[in-house]
Amino acid sequence: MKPIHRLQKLWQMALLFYDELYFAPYRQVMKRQLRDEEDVFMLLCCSEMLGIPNPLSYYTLELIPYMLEEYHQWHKRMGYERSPLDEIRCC
Amino acid sequence: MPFFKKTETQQENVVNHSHRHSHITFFGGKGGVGKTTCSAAFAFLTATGGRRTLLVSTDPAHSLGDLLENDVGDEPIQLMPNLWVRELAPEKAAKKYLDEVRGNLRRLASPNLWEEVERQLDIAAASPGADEAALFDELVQLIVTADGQYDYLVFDTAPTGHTLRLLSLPELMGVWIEGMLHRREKVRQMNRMWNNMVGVREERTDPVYQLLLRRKNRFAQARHILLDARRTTFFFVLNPEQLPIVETAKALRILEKYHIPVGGIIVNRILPKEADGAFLAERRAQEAVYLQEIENRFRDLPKMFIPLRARDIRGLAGVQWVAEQFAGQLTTSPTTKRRTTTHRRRTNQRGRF
Repeated sequence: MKPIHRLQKLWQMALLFYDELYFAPYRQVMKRQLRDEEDVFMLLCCSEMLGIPNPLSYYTLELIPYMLEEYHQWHKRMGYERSPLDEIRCC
Repeated sequence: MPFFKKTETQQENVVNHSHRHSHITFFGGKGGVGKTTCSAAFAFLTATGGRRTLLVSTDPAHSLGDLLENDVGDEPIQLMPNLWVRELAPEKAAKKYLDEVRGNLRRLASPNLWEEVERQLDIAAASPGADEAALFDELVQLIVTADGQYDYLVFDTAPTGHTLRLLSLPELMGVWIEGMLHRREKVRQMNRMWNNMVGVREERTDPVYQLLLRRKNRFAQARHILLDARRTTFFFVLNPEQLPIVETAKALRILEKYHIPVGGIIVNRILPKEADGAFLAERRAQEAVYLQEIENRFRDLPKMFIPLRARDIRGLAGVQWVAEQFAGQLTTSPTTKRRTTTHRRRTNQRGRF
């Protein structure tokens, strides 16, 4: 490998590092926001199980099969090893 | 509404019902005033007028089958030419719905979760809101699919409170579903942004969003039909007595709030002239007061009057008798224009709908 190529590669890495320096916190904030938003939706779906009346609860039942994965992610993130709601047992 | 045209013109319109919108008629009122009888008589009239009519009971305590002396169930049965009858069974609808959910669950979730989630579904099916939601779902299904199948949907409803609640659901549910869709859409957008940032190309369709959207559209469609004064009419049945009058007045205010068009009032069980005796004379004097009150309170609504009979009204023959009472007061209607509460009419509406 010629020295010039080595230098080029080093420059590329420096650029990448700089990019990451800028994007990493941004990504983190973004991810957190996305999760928060997902949590609100989860709350709306399962509100009846938490004691908040929801006239739609019968109709949100059909969403449960599709939301199990999301639910699983949620309770893990909240620090529960196992599902905290009696109503939904995913693990 | 075409129904209020003279019967000759009705006969002309019999052919080619397929592309016309169906008319939806509700009969409501206090318990025991004669909703079932009046709705059956109305359905009898439209059916004999050549209109394909489905008479549906939404009362959890069905009495349509008892009145018609027939074994009526969740499947529509044909009683006479152009007349089908059905008693909605919400628990059957709920079971069908939950079976669907169960099917999806088995398709999507790992087997070790099935048992727990299914147990939960069973509990949900037995919860107090489930029957109402299932009934509402069936009602919506009927309303949005009636076009082309039936010319008239005649609903024999449960007593006032239950029915008003049922009719206010599209609005209530609409707001909730709108809120949920909005949040889900936000999640979707953020996911898209996230994907862009980390360089993921694939965009999956979100089944949760699609399901919610489907529900929303159905509710919106049902709401649209229910509020369309050219298609939907609500009739109140009452007796010339204090409590039914007060309840009807209250219910009218609520329907007005939800903009559900009211077509008229049927005053049922009026003492006939030939009923004699001192007791009945006194009863009649009191009735006159209530009839006047009905006149005053519901001045701007068309009214129809059905006399009390010495014997029970049972079977199709009995229903036919009531239908004849209707018909005698209907054919005088000069126009086909709908009159709702907003059409103020000062004249005595007796005999005109």
